[in-house]
Amino acid sequence: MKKELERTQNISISAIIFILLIIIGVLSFKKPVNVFNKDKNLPITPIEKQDFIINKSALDSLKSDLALVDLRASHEFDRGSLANAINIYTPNLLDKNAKEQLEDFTKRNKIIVLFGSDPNQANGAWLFLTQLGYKNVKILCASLANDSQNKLIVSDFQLEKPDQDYASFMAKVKPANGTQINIETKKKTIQFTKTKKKKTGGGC
Amino acid sequence: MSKTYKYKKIIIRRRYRILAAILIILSGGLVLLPKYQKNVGIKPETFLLNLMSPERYISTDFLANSLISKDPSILLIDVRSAKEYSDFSLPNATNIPLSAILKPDNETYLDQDGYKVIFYSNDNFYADQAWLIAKRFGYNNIFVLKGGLNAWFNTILNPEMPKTSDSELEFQKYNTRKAAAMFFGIGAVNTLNSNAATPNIAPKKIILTKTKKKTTGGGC
Repeated sequence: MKKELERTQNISISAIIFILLIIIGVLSFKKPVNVFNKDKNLPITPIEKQDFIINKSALDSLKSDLALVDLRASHEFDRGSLANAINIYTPNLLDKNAKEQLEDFTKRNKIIVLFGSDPNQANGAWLFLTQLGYKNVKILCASLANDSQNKLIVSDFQLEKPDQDYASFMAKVKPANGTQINIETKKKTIQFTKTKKKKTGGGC
Repeated sequence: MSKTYKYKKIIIRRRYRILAAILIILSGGLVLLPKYQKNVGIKPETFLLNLMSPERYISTDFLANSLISKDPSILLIDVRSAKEYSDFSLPNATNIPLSAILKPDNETYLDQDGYKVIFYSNDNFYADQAWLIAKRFGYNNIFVLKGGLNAWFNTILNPEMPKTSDSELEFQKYNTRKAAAMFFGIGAVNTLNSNAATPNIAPKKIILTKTKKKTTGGGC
């Protein structure tokens, strides 16, 4: 009987410790503030549809529906930017103020138009916000520059346009006699050994 | 069975019941905890830092040098469409259109440690997107060809002749690039920039200073 009593006491102590641990775990639980969406196709879908780009001409036609976000540094923004644009420097996209502003635009069903000195500067920010779950985010396909009198010049940008027709260029410029060099054109066959993907940190 | 034994047994049972009840209540509480979305891949904060880093960019000169020296650790991935790839691509490049970058078959190219994977497109916009998507899902050893094929064309296949006022280093670089262009199949490279003025480089003046012939020591 005595042994049974002792056993019960031990179980009680371990149960209390277990309960305490659960309580500490629950109290110290912190929900992650910024979480990427799980959907792998989230950035791929707009890329496939090619509807993540907005042209310079749309700035006037869709004026009231747009929320312009200048991603350049504040000193560049101060030199001049598009009318009604707000400034959020790319590294500050997760700041409280920036998030509040972006969420406000989303609530008001505005199309968030990101722009920098050229679309390449807005590329990363667009992918970042899209994967955080912001909808209606687009990139302005234009380049911004200040002229000698510090006046802002906005011009159209040719996105990913090849400088040349490379195929015809290569056909035209054939090697001179005797200088032909054989370049391997066979596709590399590579034996991949799949590495175990490291567990990425995340969650709490 | 004595009376005290019965009494103690009741106490033990009661304790067990209380403990069981507490545990059941706690487990019920866990069900009520707010559901939260787990992050897949790297954290947004880390992604934002990576996004600003220019370390992902590889220059055309570096790539040309790697291709000429047949660096086996380079794996070029053309993220343009299949048509553009078949028309013209860099030597030994593999075509994975951007929209197919995360398809399970293509992920094997990213999920490895042995190769430096270099994405390229006409400029570096789509290659950057491929890099950012791959980085987001935690893949490492990935790079972007700065300026893409346009930069490849303007610096390697058809390099601009330096100005006469440029440094000798620029001329050396130009000559290296011209040699690289020949390696990559450009035979008539000199005719491409025919409009460019030939630099008037002053011929090197060599002043010979006669050294005094040493008298040979002889004998012992």
